[in-house]
Amino acid sequence: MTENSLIEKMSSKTDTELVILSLEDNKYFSFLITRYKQKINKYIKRITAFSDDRIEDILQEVFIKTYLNLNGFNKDLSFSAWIYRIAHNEAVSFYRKNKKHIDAVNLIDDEDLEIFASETDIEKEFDSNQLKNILAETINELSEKYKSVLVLKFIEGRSYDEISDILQKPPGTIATWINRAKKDLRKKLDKKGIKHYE
Amino acid sequence: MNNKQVQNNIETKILEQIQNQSIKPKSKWEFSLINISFWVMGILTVLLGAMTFSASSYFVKNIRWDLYKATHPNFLTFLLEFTPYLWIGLFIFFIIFTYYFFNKTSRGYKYDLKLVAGIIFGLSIILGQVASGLGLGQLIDDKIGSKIPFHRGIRIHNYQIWNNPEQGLLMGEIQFDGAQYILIDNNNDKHLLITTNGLDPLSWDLLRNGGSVRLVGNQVKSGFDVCLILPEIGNGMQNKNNPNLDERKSRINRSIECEGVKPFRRLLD
Repeated sequence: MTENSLIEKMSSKTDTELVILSLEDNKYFSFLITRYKQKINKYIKRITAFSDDRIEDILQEVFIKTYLNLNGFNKDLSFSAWIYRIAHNEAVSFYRKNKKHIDAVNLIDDEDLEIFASETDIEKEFDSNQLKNILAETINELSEKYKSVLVLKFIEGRSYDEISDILQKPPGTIATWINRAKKDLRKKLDKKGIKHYE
Repeated sequence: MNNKQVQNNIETKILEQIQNQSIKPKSKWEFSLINISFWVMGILTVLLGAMTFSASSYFVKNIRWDLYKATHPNFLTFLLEFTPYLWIGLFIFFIIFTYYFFNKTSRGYKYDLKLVAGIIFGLSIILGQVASGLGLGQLIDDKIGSKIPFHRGIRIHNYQIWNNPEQGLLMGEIQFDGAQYILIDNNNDKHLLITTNGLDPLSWDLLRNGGSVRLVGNQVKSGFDVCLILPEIGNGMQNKNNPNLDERKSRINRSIECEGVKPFRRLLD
């Protein structure tokens, strides 16, 4: 089988099928890495605001841990939620040890800014760069759990149930955190002169 | 190297790391074992919670709430002394730990804290009632409780407070030796009982029937001058066999002789 036909064949496999294949032969694990590396990279960046080289270290650790724990993957869960959970735990633990090395502006890119502003009803009367800086700085001031739920809900577009699986908290708690996080964010933005729609 | 190049290389890097360090996925049984251990620990802590509940229940049932005036200046000091802190503390501790272990099982995190805590609480109480029915509460409070330095089992607690003739309090078993009534306390010490016609009818009945009782009276040189005899009913709730003191007050004729006996005066206040 040529490399291209293998890639094509693997792209039609589900995550769970790839997990089973990876357990038989580790070469198949690279297809899972290819499938998730960008998403996980972005997610880690969004919750930690680390520079690219630090994110690469975390990313590598995430995939090694994923491989090590492949047998612990519960097929009742989505693989995506499971690998995000590993990434989240790894990123948060790395973040706690290296808080001083963050650069808040890395938190959100232009695309994220649009989504965030509309989801949290922020009036975009500011210059987009200025707003992006203020928003990134303010999100970074939020507690870890609030920052994570806002990113997962509004930027990653995850459902309450998926966020519950990623953060390992009941869906009801996730809903409460999201509401509190939005309120907290608006309050902080108000203080910085950024208005929002009621 | 930019982020894109790094991303392209990451598959190779990770697979190389896996090969070079001979990294193998942990086996399935390790995960099953961890999950099972959390369930086992959870079940164990529920059972321990139930045991402590049955011990608390036994402790509380054997407090003589109706006689608090005889032993304490007010209800608050009585309550503070007779709260089973150890059993209540352990009960809360085991409920928290059961929740912790349940939360660590593969899907435990999905359930709401209040719901899970409520179920664990309810289950511990139901199993605790079963344990009480089997007499485990008494066994735990008497045997285990007595070995814990800062805890006194309810039996010892009651005994320490009521085996106090100088304070006008005594408990034990009444016996008639053919000539006189005596009370044998938990230390097997004998107390000669001095009785008068002024005792109320129920006190006389209790005296004649013998068995476990509590006495209020006055220690004198020749023995213990009895003012009032109270039935040992096993728990502090009033029932048909223990007519409450209000009913007995009018029939107690020892008010003058027992005026100086603090517990007697307080009980009849």
